Amino acid sequence: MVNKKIKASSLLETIVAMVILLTVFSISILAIQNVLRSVQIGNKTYGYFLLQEELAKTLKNKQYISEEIQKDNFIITKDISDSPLSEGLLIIDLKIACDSGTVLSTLRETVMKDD
Amino acid sequence: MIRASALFIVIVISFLLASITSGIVYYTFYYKVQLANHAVYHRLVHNLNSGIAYTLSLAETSSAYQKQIDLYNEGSDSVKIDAKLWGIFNIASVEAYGKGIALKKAFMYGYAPSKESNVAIYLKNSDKGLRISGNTTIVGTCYLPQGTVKAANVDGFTYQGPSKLINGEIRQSPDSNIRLNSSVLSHIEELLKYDFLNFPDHFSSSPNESSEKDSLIRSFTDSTWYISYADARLTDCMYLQGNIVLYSDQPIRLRNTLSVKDIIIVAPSIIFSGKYQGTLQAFCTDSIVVDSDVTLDYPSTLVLFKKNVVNASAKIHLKERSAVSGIVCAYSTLTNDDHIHVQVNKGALVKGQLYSSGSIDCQGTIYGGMICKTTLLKTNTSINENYLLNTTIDLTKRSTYFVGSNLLPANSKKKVIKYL
Repeated sequence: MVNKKIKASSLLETIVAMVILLTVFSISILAIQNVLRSVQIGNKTYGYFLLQEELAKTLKNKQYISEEIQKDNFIITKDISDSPLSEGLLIIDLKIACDSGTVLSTLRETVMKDD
Repeated sequence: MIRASALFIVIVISFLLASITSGIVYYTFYYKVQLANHAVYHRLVHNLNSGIAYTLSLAETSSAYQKQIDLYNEGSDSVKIDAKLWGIFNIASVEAYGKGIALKKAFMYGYAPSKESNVAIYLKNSDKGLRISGNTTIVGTCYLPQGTVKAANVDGFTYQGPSKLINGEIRQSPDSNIRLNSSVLSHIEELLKYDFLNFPDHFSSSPNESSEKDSLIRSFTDSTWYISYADARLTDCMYLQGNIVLYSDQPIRLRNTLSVKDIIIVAPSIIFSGKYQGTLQAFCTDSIVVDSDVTLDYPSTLVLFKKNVVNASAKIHLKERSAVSGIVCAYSTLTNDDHIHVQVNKGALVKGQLYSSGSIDCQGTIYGGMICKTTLLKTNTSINENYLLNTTIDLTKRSTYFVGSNLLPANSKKKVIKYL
């Protein structure tokens, strides 16, 4: 008699436990997915470092030409324009976007024309 | 068989899972915040670099100015620039700010020598052409009186240098000596008025600076400290660096134990004791003596600014094995004053530019150029004008990255000497 009562109770316990587990799992997965989707952490960080690299390359090689560069699954847009502050200055405007066209990161710096 | 306490165990496991999940969520949130801070920081770094580029591109209308500029006319990227003369060089401090963060960077800048001053030798025109003797080597463009150079015997020394007397272009020098920049000269004159006690940032008004400190370091993003050499707090001080003007209205002998970097020293005369090493700009009215084995690193400056006719023996003297990297300049405010002199002894080295509005006696080595009215070679038996003996002057051995001051004729383009 005692054993039978315990078995019945275990089934109920198991069902409740499974429901709790499933609820906790689904809530946590949803929360993490939501955070990751909203920030796009990986892409943004990677994109920013690609922009830094491109800026360093531009300054080193003095490639002051507006252009679009395909890198991995990203498109870097480099826009060079004259600075309104001084004739001797240029503005380098860099943008990185993923295939879908979403801009992940931007970077802007003013440099000397003949530096 | 499932035990009766299964629910309890599952609740514990769920609690653990919830804790881990919330930890991950919190970490992600924290990472997101840090990423945003990182983005702001890097944006400011780029704005700071832009501010530096702007400062360097600015046509110099005034040596000292404060500006606040909006880099892209969008109201979100602004920098503050505070520029001033620091001795014969310039210093600018740039501050980029936004979202509660401010980044500051100070740098020293100068100017590359112009074609006129980027020479091995520049002598004012006269009827006496240059004569060279002994083991003399000259490399670089030279402006010489009458455009002539000849080998000569002096005190028994015959010419033993290269077959080509000057390895470089020879041009006839103009009738006038090279003119120095009047605004930089005015700044030097201002320094030599010793009027520092009235300055609001005089060190005596900083009683919090303890005498127990063995070093004083002042950032160029702060205001200048004017410290009297007689200040008791300097007695045990061993190191001075940065935005500091050390002054004395009495002649000083700089002790070996006081190391300095980037500071300005103002005194009637200064003696650098043997084996002294540092980076500084010295401004004197009477004399500067650099003892043997003294090393003054780039960008150092020795300026003798003679403003009194009474001082007949205004002189900069670089003794044996001393080395100065930067600019050595002897200037007299009196017109046609020949009694201002620079003596470079055998074994002494100047890397940079050497200027005298009077004469230079150079028996040492110059990696760079020498500009003066005339050279005076003093031997045991005679004084010879426009003679060089056992001298090496090699413009090509000066660093191609050498940046001087616009005190001497210079290109208009500014160049960074160092970040501070």
